[in-house]
Amino acid sequence: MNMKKSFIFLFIFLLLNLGGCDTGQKTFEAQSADDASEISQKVAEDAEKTVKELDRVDDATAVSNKKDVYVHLDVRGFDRFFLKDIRKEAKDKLEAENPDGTVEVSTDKKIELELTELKQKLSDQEITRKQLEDDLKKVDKDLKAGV
Amino acid sequence: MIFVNAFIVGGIICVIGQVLLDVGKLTPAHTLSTLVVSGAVLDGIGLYEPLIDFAGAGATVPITSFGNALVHGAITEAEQNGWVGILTGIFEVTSAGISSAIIFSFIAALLFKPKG
Amino acid sequence: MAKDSKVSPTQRAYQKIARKHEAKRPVMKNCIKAFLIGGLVCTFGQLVQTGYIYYFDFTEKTAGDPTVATLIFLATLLTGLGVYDRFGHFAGAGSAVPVTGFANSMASAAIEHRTEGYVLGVSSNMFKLAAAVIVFGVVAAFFIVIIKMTFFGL
Repeated sequence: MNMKKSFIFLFIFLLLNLGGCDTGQKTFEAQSADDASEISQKVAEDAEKTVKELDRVDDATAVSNKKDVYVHLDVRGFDRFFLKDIRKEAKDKLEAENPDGTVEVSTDKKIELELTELKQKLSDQEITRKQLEDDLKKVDKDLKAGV
Repeated sequence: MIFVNAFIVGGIICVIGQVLLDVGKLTPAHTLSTLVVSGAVLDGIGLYEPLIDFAGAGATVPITSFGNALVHGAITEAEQNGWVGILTGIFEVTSAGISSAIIFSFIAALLFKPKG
Repeated sequence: MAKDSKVSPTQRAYQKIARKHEAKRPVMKNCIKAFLIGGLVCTFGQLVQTGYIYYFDFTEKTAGDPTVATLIFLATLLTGLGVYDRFGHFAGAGSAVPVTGFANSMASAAIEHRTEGYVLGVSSNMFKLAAAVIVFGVVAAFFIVIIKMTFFGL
């Protein structure tokens, strides 16, 4: 009798726990899926569009986190003599359109590589917001490094 | 691309050096000193950095960039620390170049024998 | 060449002929060689710099240091092996103007004076050419920055 009760008890116990695990699993998945897919890059996309309107900018790559955006400008040819000017022009224009967040502009090749990689991860939804923040901190550090 | 720009600008700076040697009949020491001072002056006017932006290594490899680096380091330090920055900052950027030249040359003297 | 009115016509004629037979420097040829070799050295430098940006954690700005150090290392090595001087003879300014030429001058002076000892030979002679470059560079930079700060703010 005791054995049977124990068995039933164990059975119910397992049933409840596995059922519980299942629910827990679903919630956990939903959270991380939401996290990865909801990192909206609207601010970045707008920034890219804005900046590409500039005459001297040939291409742009941008990644955003909430309202902060990091933009790389691709400038080719003789326009490259005026990179400092172009960076200022782009930054002013972006800050006018995005007064709530920080804007960082770069023409450094390394930043382009880092932002392109981040963009890829974001579109593949392989990155969490925390990872994005950490990676952008690195981008920020690289942007401000050097003499 | 940047490689073409580097080739052309680097080539032009070397041609200027060659003209100083052949037509100006300057010694190599005079020629290089002239080029270094030119690089320094150009950075003082603010023209050398745009050249680096355009030509990359075509502007950083010739000895003119040494003059540019000296001025650049001095200005950066002076902006942060005032007049004393001129003295503390001059060798800041060029440190890698000078240090490695001294160190590797010394090691070369340890390892290699003079030829001919 | 001062115009000496006391020079007789024969002497002037002689000077004219002598000038014609003076060893002429092939300026055009030298310039083309300098352009090509100098361009190649700089392009190689660009390759090295790009390599440091793509394969290591350097940005465009911070990659300058390792690039210069690498070029100096290679130039010193080639100098030690005796290759650089042969190529320098051919290339003229194409090999002297890039920072590799600076390294070559120091390395070759250091190696050449090896027999005189390390203190009196190697170290004392290393800066034979480099000294002029460094001294004039530093002094020029000093005055340029002072002028800039005094008259133009920064």
